[in-house]
Amino acid sequence: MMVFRHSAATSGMRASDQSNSFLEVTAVGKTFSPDRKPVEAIRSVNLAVGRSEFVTLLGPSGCGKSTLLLMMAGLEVPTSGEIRIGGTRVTGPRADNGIVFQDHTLLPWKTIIDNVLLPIRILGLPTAKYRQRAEELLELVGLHEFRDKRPKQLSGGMKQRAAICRALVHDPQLLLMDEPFSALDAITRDEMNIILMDIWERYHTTVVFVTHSIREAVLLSDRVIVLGGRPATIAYELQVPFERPRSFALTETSEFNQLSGVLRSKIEQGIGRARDAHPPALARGAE
Amino acid sequence: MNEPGSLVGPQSARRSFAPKFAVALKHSRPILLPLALAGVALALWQVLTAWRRIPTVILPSPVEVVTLLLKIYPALLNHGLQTTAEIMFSFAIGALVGVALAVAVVSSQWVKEALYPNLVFFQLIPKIAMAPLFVVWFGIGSGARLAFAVFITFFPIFIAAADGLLNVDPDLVRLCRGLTASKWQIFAIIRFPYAVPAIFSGMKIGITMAVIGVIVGEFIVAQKGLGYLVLFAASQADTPLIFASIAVLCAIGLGLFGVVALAERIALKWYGA
Ligand SMILES: Nc1ncnc2c1ncn2[C@@H]1O[C@H](COP(=O)(O)OP(=O)(O)O)[C@@H](O)[C@H]1O
Ligand SMILES: [Mg+2]
Repeated sequence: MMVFRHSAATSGMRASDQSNSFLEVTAVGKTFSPDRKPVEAIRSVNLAVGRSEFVTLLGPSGCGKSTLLLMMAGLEVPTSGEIRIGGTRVTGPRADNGIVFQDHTLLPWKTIIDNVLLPIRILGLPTAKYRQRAEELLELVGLHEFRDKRPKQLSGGMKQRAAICRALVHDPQLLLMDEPFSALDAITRDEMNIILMDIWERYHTTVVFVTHSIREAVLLSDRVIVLGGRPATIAYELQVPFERPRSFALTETSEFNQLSGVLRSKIEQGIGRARDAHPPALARGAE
Repeated sequence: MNEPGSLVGPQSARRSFAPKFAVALKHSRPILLPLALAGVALALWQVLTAWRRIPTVILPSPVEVVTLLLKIYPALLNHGLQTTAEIMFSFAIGALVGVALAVAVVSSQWVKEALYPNLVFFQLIPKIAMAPLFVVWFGIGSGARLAFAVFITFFPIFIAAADGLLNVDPDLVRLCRGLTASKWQIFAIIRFPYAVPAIFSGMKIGITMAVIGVIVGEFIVAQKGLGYLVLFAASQADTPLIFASIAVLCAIGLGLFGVVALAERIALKWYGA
């Protein structure tokens, strides 16, 4: 069903390795000009993501992570440079993306299964054909019994799991996640990290994941991209060397903590470079 | 109720009755309490009119009003049906126009920018004062009455519907756009269903406005209807008839509001709010 090739973990793929990159961000900049005063949010970002790679954009709030992700989704237009997915230039939304935001955005009047099938309806695909996949996804995240319930009958973590199923139901090649677990409590968040790793093991979808949690970034990713500065640029890139499948025990190891420490100092440097009248706060929950 | 120990036999049956009764009372209290208060007020009114010998032309007693009501109910029903039909018609047209205009407003940025602030400003105008204008425009007939009632009905429905349609979670719209959803799809799948609760709260205001609109219309131009009857009775100093007409009007207003509220309940159940 999916093209998958486990390219990441131990293969030592570099960002500049364009040969097998699925998502290419080339010299992308973004300047917002809502009124007279333009705001340059992002400047000349270069990034290449391989197929089935799990890449995390890490940085403090307001550093342009969402903006970069939305440009990948075709929902914002870069003011300079270009983004290509599978060799084709992104000029707008593509049917082949799955998106998860911080808020679950489930429709309150629909059952969980119907919520999961929303992309199928939007894309005009045959619902009957995808129902089985929807159920399979719900099973995978432990929501099968809740398929006919309404969102309000579910906890925050369960709703977000349903939102992930919705993002994957049409078998997208690229999964874009903007701080999907930031609104959840710490314990639920850990659970969600495990579930997301399970999903990735199963489907090997290419993922671009946004977070401001260093631990989450290191645990989940093949590669961490630290954004920083004003305007934001790539401040640092870290290849995460840990074997998959990973477990939470990993977070207790000294290598893990050493890598986290490196990222923390790089984020701080990024903030230092950007120090101005309103230094962005490193959001809590980075631990 | 909370004596310790385990008593068996007939006593335990009696003990279980008391809490059951208390629960039933607690649940019906929101209905019983206002009804009791209204009953007390009516009784006080009755007592006051008898005791102070207030002349009927100033304030008839409830009993007098009810007596008259029972005596002339075919005539009241006749006028009442005319008024009800006009309220329902004005409400239906007002709701349709209100929702349609709200849809137009949210579907185009230009229309929204041009129209929305003006309509919100218009909402602040005391529209009752404009009723005579409708006679100038539509002549002496049902046209003026209905046009005016539609005019004041549509406003609250329009404002509520536009608010509901505009206040959809922007992330949800973004998510759908990100899946290549068309504007029409976003409207049909997301915006409109999201606005349903707002539209219903607008319609609950709208139905009361339709009652006011038709009555004011009947005050100005009518040969029939409860508004006409109230004015006619006033000109004859027939105070009991005024009260009887108003009583019928209250029943109609309450009934129609009940229908809208019931529809809302059904809709919200579907909505899953
Ligand atoms: N639509 C917009 N109009 C104007 N400025 C924006 C807009 N979206 C984002 N920005 C600005 O761009 C910067 C990056 O924002 P964002 O991508 O949301 O950051 P992050 O997701 O890292 O918190 C911020 O300074 C923000 O104020
Ligand atoms: Mg963000």
